[in-house]
Amino acid sequence: MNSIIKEAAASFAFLLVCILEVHAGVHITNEAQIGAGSITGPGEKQSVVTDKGIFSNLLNLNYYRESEKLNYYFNFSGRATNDKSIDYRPFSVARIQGRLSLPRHNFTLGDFMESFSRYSLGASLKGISYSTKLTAPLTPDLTLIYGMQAPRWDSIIDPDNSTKALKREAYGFKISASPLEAWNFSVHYVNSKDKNRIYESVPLYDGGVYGIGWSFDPFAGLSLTGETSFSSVHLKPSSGSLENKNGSANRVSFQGYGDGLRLNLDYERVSSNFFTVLGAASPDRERFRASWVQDYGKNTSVSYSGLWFKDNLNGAKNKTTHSWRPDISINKRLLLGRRFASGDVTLRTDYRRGAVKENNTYLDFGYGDRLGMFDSDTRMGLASFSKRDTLEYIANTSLSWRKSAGLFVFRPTLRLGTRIKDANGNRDLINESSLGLNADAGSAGISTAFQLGLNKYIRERENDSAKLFFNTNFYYRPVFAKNHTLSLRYAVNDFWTDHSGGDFRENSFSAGLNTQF
Amino acid sequence: MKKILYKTVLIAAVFFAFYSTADAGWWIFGKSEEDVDFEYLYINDIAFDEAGDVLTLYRETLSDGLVYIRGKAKASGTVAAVEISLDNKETWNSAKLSSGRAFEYSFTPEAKEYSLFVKITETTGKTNDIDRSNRKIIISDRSIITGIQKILDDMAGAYIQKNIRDFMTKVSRDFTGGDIVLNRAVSQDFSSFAHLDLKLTVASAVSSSGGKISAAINYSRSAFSILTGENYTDSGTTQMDFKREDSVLKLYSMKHPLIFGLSEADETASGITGIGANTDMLIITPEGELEKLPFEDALNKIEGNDIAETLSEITFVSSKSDADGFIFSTGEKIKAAGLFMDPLGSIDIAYFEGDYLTVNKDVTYQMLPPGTDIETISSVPTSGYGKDSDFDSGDYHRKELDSNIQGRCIAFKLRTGNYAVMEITDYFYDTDTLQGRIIFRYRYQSDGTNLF
Repeated sequence: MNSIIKEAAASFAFLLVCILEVHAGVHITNEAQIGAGSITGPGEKQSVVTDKGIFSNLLNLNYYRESEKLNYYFNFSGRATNDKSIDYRPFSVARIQGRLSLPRHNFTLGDFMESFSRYSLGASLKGISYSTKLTAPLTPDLTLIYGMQAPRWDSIIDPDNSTKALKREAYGFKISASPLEAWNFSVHYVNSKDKNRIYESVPLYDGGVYGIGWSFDPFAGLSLTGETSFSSVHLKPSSGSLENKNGSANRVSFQGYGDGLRLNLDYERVSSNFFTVLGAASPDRERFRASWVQDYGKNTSVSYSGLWFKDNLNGAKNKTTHSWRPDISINKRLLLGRRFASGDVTLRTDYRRGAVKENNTYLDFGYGDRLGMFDSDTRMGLASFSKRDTLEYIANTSLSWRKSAGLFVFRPTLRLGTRIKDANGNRDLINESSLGLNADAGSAGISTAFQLGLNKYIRERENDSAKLFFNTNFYYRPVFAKNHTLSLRYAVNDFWTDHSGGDFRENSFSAGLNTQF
Repeated sequence: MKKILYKTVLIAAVFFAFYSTADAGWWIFGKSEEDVDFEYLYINDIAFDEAGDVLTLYRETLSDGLVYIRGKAKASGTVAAVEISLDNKETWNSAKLSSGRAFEYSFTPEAKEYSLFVKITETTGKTNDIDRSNRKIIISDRSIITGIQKILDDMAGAYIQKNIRDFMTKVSRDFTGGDIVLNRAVSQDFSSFAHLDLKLTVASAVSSSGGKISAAINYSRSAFSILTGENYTDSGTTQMDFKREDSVLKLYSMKHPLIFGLSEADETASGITGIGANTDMLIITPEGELEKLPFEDALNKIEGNDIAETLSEITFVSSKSDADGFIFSTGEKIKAAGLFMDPLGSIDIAYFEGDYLTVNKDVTYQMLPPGTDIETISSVPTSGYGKDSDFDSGDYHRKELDSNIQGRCIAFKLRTGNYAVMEITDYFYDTDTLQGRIIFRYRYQSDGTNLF
């Protein structure tokens, strides 16, 4: 409670300061919620509902000021809650960010996210970044970063047992320029160093990734991009000797589109020893993907795509595994000449050969139409998985109807679904059904929904189980106060299983108020 | 090296097959040189082609609180002006135009929808196809935390409902680790658990100017195992990244502890969220079984090169007709067919009679040096495997045993090419009854390497 009072006082003081300053823009949103839950039954420990009264408040403050020479911006988001499943600390800072912009220079302090290249940096940090956008020809743009990668602010400041985290300190730069028309080149370097080991079995990383990127955009409709990066990273285990990860990663992408055509080609090769801490890469992989989408008139499109990749690039494994995934998909509107009908069919296969042998096949059909006063959407599918000798049949359909009555628009929806799984000769059946009703009165600012349903799992070998559920929600945004929304939600789930000790029922209720000003 | 060269040439060939200084080579893509158009267009560093028909921007992510429209005009003649409309062509505002035909326009948005059009006019009066430049820009005053929360709730809903199609519509084509791998992994997840309860809460979210968002997520999870009917719960903090694709934010990468795609965790996760709150983690074993382990043990099991091992002892008691057999890949001790009956099939080794081990005809072995310690061994040889020349029936062969075998390690190269190592901790053989007993420990490496 004390922390909530402190948060409210700080926010009010801040708001007061902002209001007093002329030419300032302030925007505040607050999402407050209270609720209660109850769980009964011998299986109550299986529920994730919080069995007590709870509150949660998310406050978001934005302040910005513009002038000809200087703009600045500040954002703060903080959460207060007593529900440990929402956050294990009663008060936490979700984001702090300050930005200062001069005509060609930008500074960011606090939370920031820069993206240098796929392989080098694409992560959020807590620290400082500086970037320039110099519009003079042949003058490069520069971005510098320094910060810590940590999941939360209280992992860095005043951590406790729950929030203590690995501390990753990073710095780097990116320089990009367009020396030739339609061409852009960039050079990047990112270094990181880990401290504060949390897990004995996970090594600490120390090192960096450097490389170049390029792009060629001769005209709208054609684009070529690429990147080559190198890693030089040491892995420090809790005991034993250092391991070096010195490798390379390369990729080239082609995108083309024209009238009714979209073509994408991607090639990538990431060596077995390539390692990136703040970027994204799958080491020991060579991959090629092609996709072609062709429109035939306004109502039909066909897409062909293929993906291939393999591992064992350094020959260390006994066998190389190749994976292929070709697929074809056809979409058609005005099917059979019907105005509201649309259909699609997709065939996809997934092969692996080498150290693993696997064949998976997926066939899906979809059909949507208006049948009298009902809108229908039906999907059927068949999938086979060789690894577990499994065949799955899926069918689901929904029927919905729209009816206006006075201020309200009603949309009842019936959903039925069946899933049959045949695994190693054992057949399991899942039936899902639900009836829902949405009632909206947009002009009055009211939106409501109800849903009642039953899911049953009938298993040949294992225990059967079922879930009966009901949920409803109500939203009201007054016409006279459009910046405020009141919400009410209630849900009950009743779980039953034919093995003793598994039944339980969970109820949850919440009321919320979203405000912004 | 040759293969890389061939592939580079292939990519270049595809490129140059379409590229030509002559217009005719490019007729498939884009427009011809004579048209007035923009070469590229960015809305706040988001490429026009990637923006989709509707682009939602969160006000709090706007640099300076402004929306920037930046691009470059193209025309055969001189570009006279570039104008921007935000109200469905009712009014037009001039953009700053440089001598190099680059243009820029910025505005301070309100929280509403804007209908963007770009008009480029040549000195001859010719303009571009204005309608093709249309995009709807929605400025949201909602926190991106709320925006990401909505995406997570939708993903969790699709996952709980086992709706793979809906789930995968929220996954980026560029998902790290491969969207196909995640598709396969999530499909397999559905076969491992029933009645999943999942609560995800965004603890923090930060965005880049290019539309990527990185989020820390608190989670609570409860799942019934389909195979055992047992319930497992865990909770903690993880991280996910999202990127803009087809005008919506989609899942781009995930870290351990994984929420989705547990069946192929070594491929679908690209990092670890190291935080004290992560004490336990749910995993799905290669056999499809849901399991809960301490966090480090779970990581070891996922990332420890899939080494399956038991350093507890397994006992074989010989029998002519009802022998104990063993399969290294599954760790199963099962009954083998009787001696002189069919070959061992999928069984790697069996113990029929007292003084030798019966070995599958497709399995070879070699004795490791005395003193080899199974607990600390880091690798086995990749060559030198063979069959005992004293007995090889063609259907199976044998490894002779004597009292000196106790404490020794034997390395096996299995039918699949994978390696296993076995230490015989106790050996007893009765020369009168011709029956015996072997007790052993083993380690098995499933990834094809000889490393342990």
